[in-house]
Amino acid sequence: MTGLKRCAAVSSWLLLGGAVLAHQGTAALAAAEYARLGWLFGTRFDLVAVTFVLATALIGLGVSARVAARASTGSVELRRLIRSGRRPCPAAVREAAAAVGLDGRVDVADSGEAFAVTYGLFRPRVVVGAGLAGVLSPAELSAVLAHERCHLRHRDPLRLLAARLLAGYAFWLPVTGWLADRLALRLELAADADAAERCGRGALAGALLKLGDTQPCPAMAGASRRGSLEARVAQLEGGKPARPRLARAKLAASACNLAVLLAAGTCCVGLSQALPGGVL
Amino acid sequence: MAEQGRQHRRERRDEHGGAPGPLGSLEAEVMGVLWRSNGAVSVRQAAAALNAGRDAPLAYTTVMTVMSRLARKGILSRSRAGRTFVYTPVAADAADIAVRGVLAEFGDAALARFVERVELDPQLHQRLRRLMEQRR
Repeated sequence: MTGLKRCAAVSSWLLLGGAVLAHQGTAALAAAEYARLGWLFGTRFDLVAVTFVLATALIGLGVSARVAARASTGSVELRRLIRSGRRPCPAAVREAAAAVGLDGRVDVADSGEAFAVTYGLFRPRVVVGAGLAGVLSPAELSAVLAHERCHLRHRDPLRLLAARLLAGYAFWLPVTGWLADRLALRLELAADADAAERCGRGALAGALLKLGDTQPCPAMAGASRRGSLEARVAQLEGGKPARPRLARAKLAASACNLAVLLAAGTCCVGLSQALPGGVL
Repeated sequence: MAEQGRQHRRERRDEHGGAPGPLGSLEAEVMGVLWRSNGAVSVRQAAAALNAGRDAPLAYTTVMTVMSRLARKGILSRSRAGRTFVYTPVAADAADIAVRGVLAEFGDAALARFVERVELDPQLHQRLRRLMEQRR
């Protein structure tokens, strides 16, 4: 990723964070106006604008709360299952973990499935399925753990969650979902580049081939993930990975919704200034 | 009452091929039969094993529905053997099902997974194989 593109990506997230804070501030004003005026707004437009700002903020908070609840339940459940499992860490996994600098940070889940996941927000850990060592060669196992080490070092689960919380709050801006997907792919590509550098492209490709090419569980398979694998393979080949494209309809809907919300927010602020003695 | 509500919600989610969460009682019985048998089992064989010693036998269609649901959740794999379908357990035990359930249900929430399981198209398969054969 060039410096300019990285700068644009960081600016987008900062802008989105600022927009969310501004929306929250306006929603607080709207709530205070409701408390002061009840339903006795001067015009119907004022009533609609204030209600709209307040409703979008409340729904946004609800969506974010749901994302946060799912993330924390997932982490807690996974930790509980790891603790209740009694599978010893296979020697191959222990050796590969020590080789890539993950000593003591890898758990084994009581599952025959071959998988590797980084979980936990502030003190992330890696968990692998007990079946992983049986499927991969030692070099491939090291490549998988090197990939997960990159996620762990950069606290990627926390970054992904922050992006999804923002995207959840700003559900009325469909462009935020696209930004979150782009970030997820960028983190995967960075972890792949790191793992390929340490363990070789061949080992990483072998691991992707063996772990990706299984009969999908219907609840887990998704078209976007297939696109992400395509981009990761392109990067391994030395080409330019295709990033998720922003559909024009999403861009147009985001611009339209933003304009409506800006108008409603301006009305809220104007109303608070017009009230004698202020709104608070 | 609350248990009935939970069961109803679980069944509604299962209809749409939901994540492999905790098993219902009949699902657990069916899985018990499949884990005890060595190899693939047809619906008729599973129904016969389930009905052995049962006062009110289960209908063939009930067993078929449960097994199809387990296949949709990714707990059983289904393949054709002649004119009938046979089922094989994918998950080794209840703990395995629980782990798969958490990954499927919360995998997109705050986890960074190495790779999601997808069916690779032949072209992608070939490209990965070429890369795999390279030394670096």
